[in-house]
Amino acid sequence: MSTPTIRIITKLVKNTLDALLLLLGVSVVVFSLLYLTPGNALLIQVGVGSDRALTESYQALFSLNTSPVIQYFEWLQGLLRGNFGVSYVYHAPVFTIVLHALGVTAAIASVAMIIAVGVSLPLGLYLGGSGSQVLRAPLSGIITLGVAVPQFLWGILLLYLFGNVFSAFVPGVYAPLSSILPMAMAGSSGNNAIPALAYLLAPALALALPAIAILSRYTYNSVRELNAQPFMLALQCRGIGGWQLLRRHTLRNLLVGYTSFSGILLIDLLAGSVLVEYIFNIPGLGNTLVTGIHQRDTLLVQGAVLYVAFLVVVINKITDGLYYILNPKLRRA
Amino acid sequence: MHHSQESAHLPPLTLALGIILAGIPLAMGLISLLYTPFEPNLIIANAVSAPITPTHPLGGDYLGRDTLSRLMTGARITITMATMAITTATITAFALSATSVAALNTPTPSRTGQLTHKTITFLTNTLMGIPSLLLALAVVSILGGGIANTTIAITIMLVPGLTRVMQAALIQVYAEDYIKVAKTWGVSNINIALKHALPNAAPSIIVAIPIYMSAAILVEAGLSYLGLGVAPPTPSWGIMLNQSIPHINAQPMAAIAPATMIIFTILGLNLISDGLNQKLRGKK
Repeated sequence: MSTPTIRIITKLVKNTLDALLLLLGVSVVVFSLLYLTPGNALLIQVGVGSDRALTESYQALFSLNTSPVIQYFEWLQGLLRGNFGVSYVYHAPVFTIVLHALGVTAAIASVAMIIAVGVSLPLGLYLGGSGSQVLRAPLSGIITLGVAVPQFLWGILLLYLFGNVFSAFVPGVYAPLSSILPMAMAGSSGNNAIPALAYLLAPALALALPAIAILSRYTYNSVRELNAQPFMLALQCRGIGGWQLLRRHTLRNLLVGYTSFSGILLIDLLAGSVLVEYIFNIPGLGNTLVTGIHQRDTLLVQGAVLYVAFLVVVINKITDGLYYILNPKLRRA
Repeated sequence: MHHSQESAHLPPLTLALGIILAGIPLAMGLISLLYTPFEPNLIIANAVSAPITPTHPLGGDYLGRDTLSRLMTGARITITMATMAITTATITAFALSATSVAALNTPTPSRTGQLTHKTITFLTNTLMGIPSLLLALAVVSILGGGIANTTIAITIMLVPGLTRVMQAALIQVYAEDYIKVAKTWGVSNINIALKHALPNAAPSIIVAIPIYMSAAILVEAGLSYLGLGVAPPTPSWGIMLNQSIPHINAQPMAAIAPATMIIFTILGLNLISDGLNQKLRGKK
């Protein structure tokens, strides 16, 4: 095998081990949630001052009568088999509940990310380019403001606009993607399409708007820095311009940083969806987590946090990998 | 030419605008210590969903409480919580990062030093593996809500990020010759950290603080909005949003006012950080 291949494999193995170690650390933090939580769901379930035998049988059922260390390893063993325990509130496996909720969150987060990238890349390129002096000031003003308005305020504003002003949907009611898509397709000629899409678009927009602002600003600054570099001038002197310059030089240089920045934003988007889901009453991961905390359903909280942590680590590692692929300098070094 | 002139003028303008914007809620909070038009939790019968009048410049909320008085008291509570959190977190993060960086820079390479550095870095990375809002949520789920617990949760949320920022700054400072000289003179580790490393790492730390301060204010608002932070009827901006959204049609001002305050504060703090960054970098 050639040395570059070996190097890539070594890097891959090292990265995977790093990620696993990090997840193990996170799992200890998450497990300690159960231990540090006063007045756990078991007491709620059994009732304070109830029969001792009943309490003990419940403790045995959820194996709460052994030492924390043993419980941690039992819990970890369960995790590896996909057993996150049973939710005290829903009386269903946490794994299934969280997986289902994750699907909902993922749908909204992906739509938000597509909107964010789709708008910010052209906008940033346009602002960073040359022929846009007139629009630059107002647009960068809007962008600065956009960075300062948090996702949940956008959410409240959009809920108000879509629900009360445009009457596009009933606020606080959630329509799952599986019911929106057929409605949207069937109603593309009728009146159903807009309301159906609003259920998905409004929360996705709430998440996307700050991301658009942040990514546009990043793109704009990078393009300006890039254009100031001598090699761009040299290329233009050689008669390379327009589309070719954009695609082969500007974009290729820009995308290295842009990709890792989008990774960070995607994580921010997942975290922000906690509030946005609560506002729009969407049964996603965030709402599940909030319900879990309100109901003191510690296993559900643990499961949801662990899932998000897992996603964060995976997204980080994929971003690292993409960074490596997109940046030839790193491959040679 | 034009470009350089423009950037020479930029820092004071950005900074000034930021200070004005962030100064509005700060001034409101300070005034609320001495005076609010009404008692913030006082229910006034004829102020229920009241429109804007001279007596109630921002109207009344759904229970008949004066919005301006609640907004001012809310400013004080939100800003106090964020300030306490950022102060505690900054001190903790500095202690952690200075310990970890100093442990690496021992005269002779030591095992314990390496281990200390690696442990602190691993802990920071682990906590950063959980997004900050979720970390704060997790802490609140253990401690419960209320002003004190929410402040603790925000502090814990801020520490890993600040530690990482300070570690990066301190690694550069500790590589400088004057630190090595101070060590050969036998200056103690604590004195090196406080008298030599801190002043030289200060620019990077000062630029980061407004950003983390805005994160603290956002998370306070978010937690309280979810009903997991400050407990009603205490008027924090998040609580005001939480309570006014269901009645937004009857009295939109009760929701618009705290939302505007949040935006002003975040925008102001972002501009302050930008301005400081340009100013401190420009001087270098």
